[in-house]
Amino acid sequence: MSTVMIVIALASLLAALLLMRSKHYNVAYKWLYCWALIAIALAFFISVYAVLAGIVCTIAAFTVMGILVALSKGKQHT
Amino acid sequence: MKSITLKKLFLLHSWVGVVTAVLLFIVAFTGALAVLARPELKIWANQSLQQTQHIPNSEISTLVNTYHAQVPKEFGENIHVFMPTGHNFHLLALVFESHHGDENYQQEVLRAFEFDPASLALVNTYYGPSKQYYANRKTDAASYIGEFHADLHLGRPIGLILTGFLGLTLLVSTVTGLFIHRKLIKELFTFRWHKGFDVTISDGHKVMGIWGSIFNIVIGFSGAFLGLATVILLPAAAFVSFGGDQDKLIETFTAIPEPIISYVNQPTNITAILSDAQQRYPHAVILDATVMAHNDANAQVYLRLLGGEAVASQLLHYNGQGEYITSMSSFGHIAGVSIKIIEILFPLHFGNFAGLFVKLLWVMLGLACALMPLSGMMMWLAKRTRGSTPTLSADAYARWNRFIIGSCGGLVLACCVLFPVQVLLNYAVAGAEHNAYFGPVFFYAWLVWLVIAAFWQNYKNYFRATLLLCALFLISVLPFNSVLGVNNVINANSTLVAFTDISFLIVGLAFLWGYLKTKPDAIALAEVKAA
Repeated sequence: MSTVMIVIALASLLAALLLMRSKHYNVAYKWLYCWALIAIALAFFISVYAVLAGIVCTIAAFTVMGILVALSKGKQHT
Repeated sequence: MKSITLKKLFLLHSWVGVVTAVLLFIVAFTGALAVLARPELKIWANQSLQQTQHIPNSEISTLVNTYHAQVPKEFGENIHVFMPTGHNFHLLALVFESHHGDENYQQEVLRAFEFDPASLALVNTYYGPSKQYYANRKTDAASYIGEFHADLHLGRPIGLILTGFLGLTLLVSTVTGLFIHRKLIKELFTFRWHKGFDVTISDGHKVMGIWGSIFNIVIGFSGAFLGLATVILLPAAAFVSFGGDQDKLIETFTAIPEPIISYVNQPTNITAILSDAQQRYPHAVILDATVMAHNDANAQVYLRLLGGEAVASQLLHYNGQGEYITSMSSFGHIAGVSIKIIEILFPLHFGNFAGLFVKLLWVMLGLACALMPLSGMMMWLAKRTRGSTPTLSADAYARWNRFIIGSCGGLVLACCVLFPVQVLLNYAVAGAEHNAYFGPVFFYAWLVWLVIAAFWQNYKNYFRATLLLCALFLISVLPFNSVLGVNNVINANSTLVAFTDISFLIVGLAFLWGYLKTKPDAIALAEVKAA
């Protein structure tokens, strides 16, 4: 069960990151959806671990996935 | 911010990074490996820990009573029971301490009995000074790398001061980096791998720096604290508040005070205490138990637990009758927010607060942290070779590259060598005699590869050779263990061993992929320029 919840949390973070990177949405909605997806990931991590560990875990997972998304789907222009 | 201030910050960022780059890579890379050292890789390296087993609490209690009766009276002051969890010990260890020595020793002395976790047969005994016992415990490849990360095997305090100082430089580099790269949001997803090697390195440095900034700040701060606390902060605190008396400071703040012995005999109920702790915190691991004034009416028992819902390790306090008194941090009951922050610095640095998944995140972030100084150094060097009046000649550039590959790549290679060596040692050498091999193998492998840098002119091929050797050493772990190891991927007696062997194979194949993807250079850059 914990593994499934971690996978869902990671998928939410990945979706949030891809949304952050995309340019196809209205900016206000884009950030709203991003925060909603991050909140879902946070809720899942908190339910798997404790509150403090869940928050730290969300930040760490978001950081790792951010680096991986940037390196694999990096923009080719500044 | 004024451009002149930014310029100064840029200079600070560059020079701090360049001066400490190689050392920072060494500490960060070994730190990334050290995250998995205890207990995962320690279990992989020690056959006695590989079969999951629970030692019955009553057996532990019986052993404590039996061996307490065998040791002289003064050794009953403090009894430590170290569980075979892979966090510290690979055997069940009963340690009977006498703080004031005995007829043979005028210093802290102990008698230790070590048992096989499965059969509970007595494996080792020790009698002698306490420091010697803890210093000469059996080590393994991963623990050796973990200890290297802590003090670079330079001894204490020099090694600790150096690693603590490197934590501070990481902190300075991260903070100055955030100020000088002002287009933070814009550069979050910019990675132009089609625009040449220098641009790729520069973008990679920025991506890892911006994304990893929170982690790097936390690791830098906690690393500086861990390195400098015992050698600088503790004496400073003792100087300010206790007239320089460090023992008095520790005595005041210790979580485990000495009990007053009543000399009234009353059996200490270790079985009930261990059972109660397991019921209260079913997901936590009991690392060790400290029994004070054993079998006295005033006996006190402290259990150190890791995991469960608590982020930091916790100390459970019981009286001798088995009544639960309280749970506290390793620092005891000290009020204030600062102690709470210090308490969580340890798990935040080690990444051991929420299982394997978080540890893997810490490994990846640690590797990204290790690549930061390296990519920064490469940017610094490349910048000096460009332009109409380059300050770095092609020869010097090639020499620098060879030095970086020899020192940083040599360290990676030395770490990779240790794992197949561990399998061979498990097969051919008994117990604590392993300790004599890790140092020479690690440092000679590193030194030889660094010396080769002076002779290998083509640095790209030298880099490829480093990748190939790392790949071969890591890939060899699985076949070696399949042939020589008791538990391996073929019989799958231990899931952790099978999983770890396969992980070594995958990482080895990743190195091999890197080797195949890096194109060989027939002629070195220096030779091209000279031509």
